[in-house]
Amino acid sequence: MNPETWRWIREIWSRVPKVAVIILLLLIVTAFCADFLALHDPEIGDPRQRLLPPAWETGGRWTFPLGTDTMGRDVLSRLIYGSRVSLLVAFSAVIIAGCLGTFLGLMAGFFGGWVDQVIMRFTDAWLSIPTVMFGVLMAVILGPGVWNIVIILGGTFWSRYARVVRGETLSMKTRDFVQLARIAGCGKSRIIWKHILPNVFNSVITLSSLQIGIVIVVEASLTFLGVGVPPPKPAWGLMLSEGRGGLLAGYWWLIVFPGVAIALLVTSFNVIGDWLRRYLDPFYRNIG
Amino acid sequence: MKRYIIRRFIFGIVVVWIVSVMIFLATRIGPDPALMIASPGADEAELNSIRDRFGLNEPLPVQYYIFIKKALRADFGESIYYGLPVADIVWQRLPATLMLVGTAKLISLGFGILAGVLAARRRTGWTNNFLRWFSFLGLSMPNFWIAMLLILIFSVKLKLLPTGGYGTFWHLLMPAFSLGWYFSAGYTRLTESSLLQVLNSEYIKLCRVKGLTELSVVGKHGLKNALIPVVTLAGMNVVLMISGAVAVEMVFAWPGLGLLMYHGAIYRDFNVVQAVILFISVFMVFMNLAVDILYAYLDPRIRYD
Repeated sequence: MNPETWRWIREIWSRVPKVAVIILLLLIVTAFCADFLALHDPEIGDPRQRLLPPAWETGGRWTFPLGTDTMGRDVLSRLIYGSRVSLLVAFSAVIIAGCLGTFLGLMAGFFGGWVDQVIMRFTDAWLSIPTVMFGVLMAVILGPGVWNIVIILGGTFWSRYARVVRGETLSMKTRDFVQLARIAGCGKSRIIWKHILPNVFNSVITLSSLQIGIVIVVEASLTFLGVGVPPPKPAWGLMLSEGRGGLLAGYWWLIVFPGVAIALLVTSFNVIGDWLRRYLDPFYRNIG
Repeated sequence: MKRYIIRRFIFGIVVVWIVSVMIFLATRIGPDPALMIASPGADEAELNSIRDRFGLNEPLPVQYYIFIKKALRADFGESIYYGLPVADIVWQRLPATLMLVGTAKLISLGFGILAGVLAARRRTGWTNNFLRWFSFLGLSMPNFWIAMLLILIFSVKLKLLPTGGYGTFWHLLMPAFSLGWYFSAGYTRLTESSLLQVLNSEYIKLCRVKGLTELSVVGKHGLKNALIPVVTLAGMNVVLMISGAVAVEMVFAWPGLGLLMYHGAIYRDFNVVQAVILFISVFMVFMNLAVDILYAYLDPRIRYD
């Protein structure tokens, strides 16, 4: 890499919330390297090693650092593989929702008139539907599966993008550079994709970083309710729902660790999103 | 003003109509509902009788017409699982939901406003940081996980509170807290920014010049105006809370709308599911409508958009 790139990376690094970025990067690396990091198979357990407590408790073993579940599966290995499911679902769903919502928002804002009316009434309808409940209904109808969850979440979360992008497009349309592009003879599609889209992109990125936390929690909720990612796949929400059976018996490690994993991931996304919102907004940029 | 209200009202009706079509279609696009209702291995005659009973033999537009005509009279058909009219069941479950959501609202508002006021008064300091992080954390933890942690601590370890069920004040505490925590962060942030704005205004300066105590300036004159957006947000969040309570209600076996809807979906009791989702969406649409009209009434600048 040339020195210019390094300088740019250092410049960015000096401004980002470091702890959150490090945690997020660690989790992403974990998801990619799950095959090398996990000590045991995440889906097949050893019945002789059922319900071992974490290693530091009496009766725990260091071969199962965070203990084992009711089927004798290593909790840590399942957590490691679970990061894959969470990140995959969250990123795919946000990308689908972002593309769909941005497209509809651009169309509504740019063309106005009845296009705007139709798209915005649909957006309003989607915004007023209770997300988790509609997710449960759709998941029951489509059946369990990782990609079904991605489709459901992507198809639910686009509405906020549509509303934000429409508003931005409306204000962009009146700006001088769009007017000048029009005078210079640019076609409609060129104005939309080359002049307006790059300018609303910051808002889309900021919104995504804030939405992704919600998407992760909703995915975990659907999976916890037994309509999301099907067993025996290692997903954090599924681990919580399986651990619920041991709640009253006091098998706390089945409950605490998957939740901590979710909270860590979502917190780091929220902190980064909060920072992005301030950083990408010109009003706040100079304040830091 | 009148035109604006009429326009918004028509928008509201259109949105409700779209929602009703969507929810109706959602339960019809999947596999044949009769197959889901019937016991496994049912023969064609049995399936046909089920289709007849629930009107599934009609073409889709006719089914929708019947559905909406009945829905307008608050008739959502019969629950397959409970064997009772759906409207009655929803009505019966409503108090539990309102009690849970109301208490969660009080907890989240109380905490959010307190943390927000402290944050606006003292920008730094240990308590302030702690409160800010506490409310921020609520945003990152799934409410059902908080619920299970609370059970682990207060029911299993300390044996203080019941693990689930409905009835007394003690049953209400843990569900309401796990539901409310998430929402406190929004109130904290909004109270802080709105109070800071108000405290910079002229009339607050006048209060200070008059020599009023700090408590009176912030508590009486400042908060009164600063809380308007917070209360608005709280109103709009009611619906989010009702729908977000599904997993919490399931953990605590709390007999509210969330649990009703969840069981409806699991047992393929789609009449119940349709009714609950439609009820909540309509509630949401008219809540937003009320807020819009109220704001237009209070602030002439945002009228004819």
